[in-house]
Amino acid sequence: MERVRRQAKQYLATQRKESRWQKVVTGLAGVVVFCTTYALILPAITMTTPLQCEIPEHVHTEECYTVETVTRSGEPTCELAEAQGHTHSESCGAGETEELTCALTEGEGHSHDESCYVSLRGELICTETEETVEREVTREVPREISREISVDVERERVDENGETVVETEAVTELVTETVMETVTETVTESIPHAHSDSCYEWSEKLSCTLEEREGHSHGEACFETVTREACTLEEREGHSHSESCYAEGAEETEELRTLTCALEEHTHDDNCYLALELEEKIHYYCGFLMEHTHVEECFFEDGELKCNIPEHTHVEQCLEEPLPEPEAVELQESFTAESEDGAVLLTLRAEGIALVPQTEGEETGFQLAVTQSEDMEAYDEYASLAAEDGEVMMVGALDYTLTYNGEAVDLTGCEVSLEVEPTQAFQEMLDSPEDLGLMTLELEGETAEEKSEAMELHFKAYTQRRGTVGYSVTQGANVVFYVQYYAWMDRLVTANGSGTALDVMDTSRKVGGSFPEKGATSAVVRNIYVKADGQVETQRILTEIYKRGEEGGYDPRKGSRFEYFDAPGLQYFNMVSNVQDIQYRVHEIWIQKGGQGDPTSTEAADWLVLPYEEGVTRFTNRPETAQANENYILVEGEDVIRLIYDPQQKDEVFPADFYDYDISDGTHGVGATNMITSRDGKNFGINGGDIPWGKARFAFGNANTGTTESLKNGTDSLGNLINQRNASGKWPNRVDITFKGGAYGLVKGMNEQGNDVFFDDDIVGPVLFGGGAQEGKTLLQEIDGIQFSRVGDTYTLTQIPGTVARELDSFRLNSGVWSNDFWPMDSASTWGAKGHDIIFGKKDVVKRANDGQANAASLPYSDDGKDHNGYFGMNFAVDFELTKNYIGPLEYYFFGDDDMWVFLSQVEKDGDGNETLKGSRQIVDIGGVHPSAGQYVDLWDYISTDEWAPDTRVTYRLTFFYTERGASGSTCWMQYTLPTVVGVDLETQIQDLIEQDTGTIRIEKQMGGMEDNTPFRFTLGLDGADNYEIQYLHRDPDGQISTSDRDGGDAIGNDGIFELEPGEILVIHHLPENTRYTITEVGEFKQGYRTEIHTVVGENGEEKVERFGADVSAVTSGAVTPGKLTWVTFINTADYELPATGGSGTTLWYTMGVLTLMGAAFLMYKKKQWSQREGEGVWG
Amino acid sequence: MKRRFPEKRPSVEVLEAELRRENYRKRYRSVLRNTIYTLITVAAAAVLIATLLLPVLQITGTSMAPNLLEGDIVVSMNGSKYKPGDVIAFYFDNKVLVKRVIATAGQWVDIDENGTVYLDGEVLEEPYLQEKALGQCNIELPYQVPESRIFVMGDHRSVSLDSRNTAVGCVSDEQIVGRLIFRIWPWEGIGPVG
Repeated sequence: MERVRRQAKQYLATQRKESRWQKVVTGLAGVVVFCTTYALILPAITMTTPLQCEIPEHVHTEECYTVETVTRSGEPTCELAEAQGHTHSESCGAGETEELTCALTEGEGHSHDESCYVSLRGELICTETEETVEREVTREVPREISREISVDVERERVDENGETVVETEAVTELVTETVMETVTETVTESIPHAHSDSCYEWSEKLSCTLEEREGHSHGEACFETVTREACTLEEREGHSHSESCYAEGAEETEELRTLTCALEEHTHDDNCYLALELEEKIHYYCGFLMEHTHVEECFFEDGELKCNIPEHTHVEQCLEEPLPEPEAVELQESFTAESEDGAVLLTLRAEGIALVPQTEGEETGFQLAVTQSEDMEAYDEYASLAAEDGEVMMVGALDYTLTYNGEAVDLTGCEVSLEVEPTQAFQEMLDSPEDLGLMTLELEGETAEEKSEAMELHFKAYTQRRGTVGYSVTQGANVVFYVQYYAWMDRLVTANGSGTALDVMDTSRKVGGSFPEKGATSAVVRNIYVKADGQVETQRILTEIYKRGEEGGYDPRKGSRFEYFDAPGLQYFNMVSNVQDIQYRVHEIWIQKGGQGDPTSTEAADWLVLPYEEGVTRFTNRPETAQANENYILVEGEDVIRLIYDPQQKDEVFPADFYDYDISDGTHGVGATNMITSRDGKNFGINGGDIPWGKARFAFGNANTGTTESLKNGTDSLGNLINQRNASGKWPNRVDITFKGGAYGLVKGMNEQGNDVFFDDDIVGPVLFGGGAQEGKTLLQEIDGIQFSRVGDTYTLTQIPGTVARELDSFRLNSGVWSNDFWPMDSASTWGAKGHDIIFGKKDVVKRANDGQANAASLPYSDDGKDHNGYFGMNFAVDFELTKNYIGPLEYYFFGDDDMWVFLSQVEKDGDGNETLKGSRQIVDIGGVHPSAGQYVDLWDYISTDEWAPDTRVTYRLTFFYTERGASGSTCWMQYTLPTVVGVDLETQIQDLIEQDTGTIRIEKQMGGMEDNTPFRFTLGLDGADNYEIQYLHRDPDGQISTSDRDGGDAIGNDGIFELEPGEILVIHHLPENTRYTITEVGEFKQGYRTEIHTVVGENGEEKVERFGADVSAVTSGAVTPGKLTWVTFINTADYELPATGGSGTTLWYTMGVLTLMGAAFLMYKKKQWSQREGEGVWG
Repeated sequence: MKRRFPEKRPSVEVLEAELRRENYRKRYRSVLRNTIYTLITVAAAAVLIATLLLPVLQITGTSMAPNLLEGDIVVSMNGSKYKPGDVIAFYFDNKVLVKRVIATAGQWVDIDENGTVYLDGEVLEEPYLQEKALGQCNIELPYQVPESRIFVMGDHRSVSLDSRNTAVGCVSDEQIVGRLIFRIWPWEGIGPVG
């Protein structure tokens, strides 16, 4: 029992002990939580505007006072009644004087005036005495008075009897009494005098520290008022009884509070805070809220900047409101204005997007402003140099600007043309040359009647740069002559060649050919010849390529008709514009004088052949000039001038889409030798999908590709031999009786976008090209162009850039077949990759396709015995512009396999530059899996310019669809001759102002919210315009516009480098369509700025935003869209990123907390382990 | 080998005393270790809660007066939805700022000369204000709050530097620390932050 009691006692003691310890631990835990939390308290700033008040906030509290208890005794003896005391007032002598506070000395530019002074009140100068008045006052006064009174006094006496006797005796006594007597007194009182301002002497003091000058006049604000205390009386609230006021004997206790706090009582009000927005409401447009210069506190100890406020000091420019963004307005108008002297009429026509400044001025709308140019000297010189039509008699120059409400309109996005005409007044002056001070010429030895050409005065205009036009009057003979435009063209030999003849179906009407409609069985054949070196055989043929398209402007025998005054030099009658790219250059000039000889002859012997040297050879109508200078060619009446052009060579790359097709299910591994192309009667990949009864399936592969029987042999009503190489079969009139086994009419049209074809109603097939998604089809991103070698206007396919498909303009003999080894997909990332077909084609290396069961077929070997990536498609398009002036070849040659479909469309653009394809029709059809076959098309069979107006320009598009379906061989040789130049119409345009229908890029540099005028460097890549010298326009931040020198020296081209400061704009014109641009902001020049690139194509285009970090180059690229302006804006902002956590961050704390928790968990685990071991030690 | 024993063997009492002493030492160590582990765990939990879930902030400045005064200590809570009237803390310029949410993304804010705030064209009731003022405002009004941003203002409108000024601008979502929910200091001010 005792033992139980002892144990219970011990247990209870243990429990109490543990309970106490738990409380202690809980308390400790609380302390730890408190300390930890307290240590982690983050300072949270409410952020006010900076305090400018230097007085600390303080409100007196009880602690600021000491309290003293004072005990007084006695009754108050003070006769003064407690009353309102004395408070300082102006009358107390707190005077004001005025002192000059202006720090400036009077002198030139400054005269002190009233505003320069502050009022300081000085000594009392008032002489008035203070007035007194007498008045009667009544008061009671105590007075002592004396009076006699009679008083009976009893006296006792002893009589004779010895008895006391009382006797009464009357006595008179003097008595003094105090009585209150009312007294009336006359009191003299002074009437207080309140000194006014006039009682004082005044002086002035200038408080303004600004120098008075233009722009500042001292005002009231410049003055201060100084108040001086002059009153000697102590200011107090009233009268308080002091000890002396109390009589002894009485006691009173009072607490005296004495302020012992040294601080001034102060509470911050609004005035104590610095107003960030200046009181004058000055608005700075620089984007900086305040000025700041780094001081010592802005840096860490190691010198690193810790201040986030950018350094900035406001300058005058910060106050200048930036011009509002100009509004983009579509213009399609003409504007007319006369020169100041009324002699010349200017008509400017602008079509396109104009940037109209936003002004608040008077609404005057669009106006063409014409002023006399200060650039007269340059034009005088230019006119003298260009005086090919006679002697210069007069020169003038005008500046013109299109304005809106008086501000210049930016026409860089517009196609601009300018007409300059002399007015009637000017014509009248010209009719009387004497009035102009001109001499009438008389040729020596000849009478006027004998002159072959009349000497005439001629007005002409020209311009060297946009914004200025010059004009001159020349005098000379206005002869009529004819010009022919012939080029040496490398034309294919199509008959009797020396090489191996390749058969080409000739669809041209000239030879009775026609487009091979569905089921066609006959074909006219022409040949192209392959020489032993694999090159196609060509011959140089002098071919007429241009004529003057105006009515009456062309004589079929003589050529294009010109008058000398209208066309005094080559630049006036050269139909091949050298503004764009150079397809042809004048090499020789053949002349037949006076119309003597056969002007149609192509024999040089029939002509006077003269060499032509650009910039040296010139024309003149003045015999004496020609005689004096051998470089001058004399132009006389009826001369026939034939310009002989040499074609220029250049490589052109056009965008193209390539598609890799797969016929397998893609489940095989990389490097496999088998692939499954069908299972249970169902095909895989591009060949998948149902085949309705009665339809033929357009499929890839052939009898050797393991596809289902329906594709191998044709089990439907039509037969499917369109997919079988060299097979004979049923597709309308196929194969034996058609040209090279071609299957015509597989497609019946092209979609509106021009990126896919429609199959014939009897055919079902996949979405081959860009019309939509399709199983077994991969659009390749890495192969996106097709390269041609351009010679003159003739383009021959040479390579697919970035692939092994090269030297495509020549042939190799593979297994007896001429091929140019067109295997661009050998460079595709999909070739042999997982999910795509296996690699096959190498001779004697058997690769199989099977149906997933036991039926396997050997895939074909290729004709060159190498592995290739077959089954692919190609889609691309080219535009060409045609005018009535062009009369050269328009033709297309194709030789290859398998399918090649080409469509011709007319491209129409609406006002927004959106394109629509009209009248699309197929002009080339080589379908089916077949050996290489050719087709020739003469596009003149489909295009006629006879009815066109002289200035008509029509853009046509050729869209090409090609597939390789057989896999055993691939050939794609093509050549087309199309004009890409634009004819020149002398009647309506001045040459230098001709705007091509090309694209424009506008590159702008902006700085986001900060000021930094550091120029940023950019590089410009122009793929497709590699050899171009591009004209550009530059606008600086002040809006000043300068242009590149059209003659080339200042132009920019591919790989060009330029620099832009914030606010600067570079506009690059005349970028040929299809040009791909790449603009790179060079990283090392970014100086730690992040970059955003905003790109918008066209007025209503969608904005694309690309973002780049501070340490990388910012790059954007895209294709130039003809007729549209591409806006590219680089916006740089400081590379400042908010911290993830602020301050030192909480990451450290997170880490510490997690590590501690993990450590604690680990230790507890170890403890448990130790406990277990100890237990085992005891019990085990 | 012959074992050597001490010449004098300890008595049973001595051994028992030694055993008690040894047990006591073991128990002492165990208790001490447990206590330390507990305190470390509590500290770690406090760190995580105070940084991740309920950051504790001490107010500096007067721009939230009279609702939050200098020295007040408040608890904030991480969240994602904030509405006008909430008091939030957010990172700005390496510091934690405290302001009141006035408008959220897409809403239009307008402030007249007297400092009356209009939210989407309607007057915003602000019972928490002691005085109204246009204050340091250099943004163009009315102002639409951009996407993923919050427009904040201090309660002491005349001196507060907040979204009315481009120096601060609107607060983006990722800057926000949390909503202030409770004031824990001073004693007389303990209660929810409104």
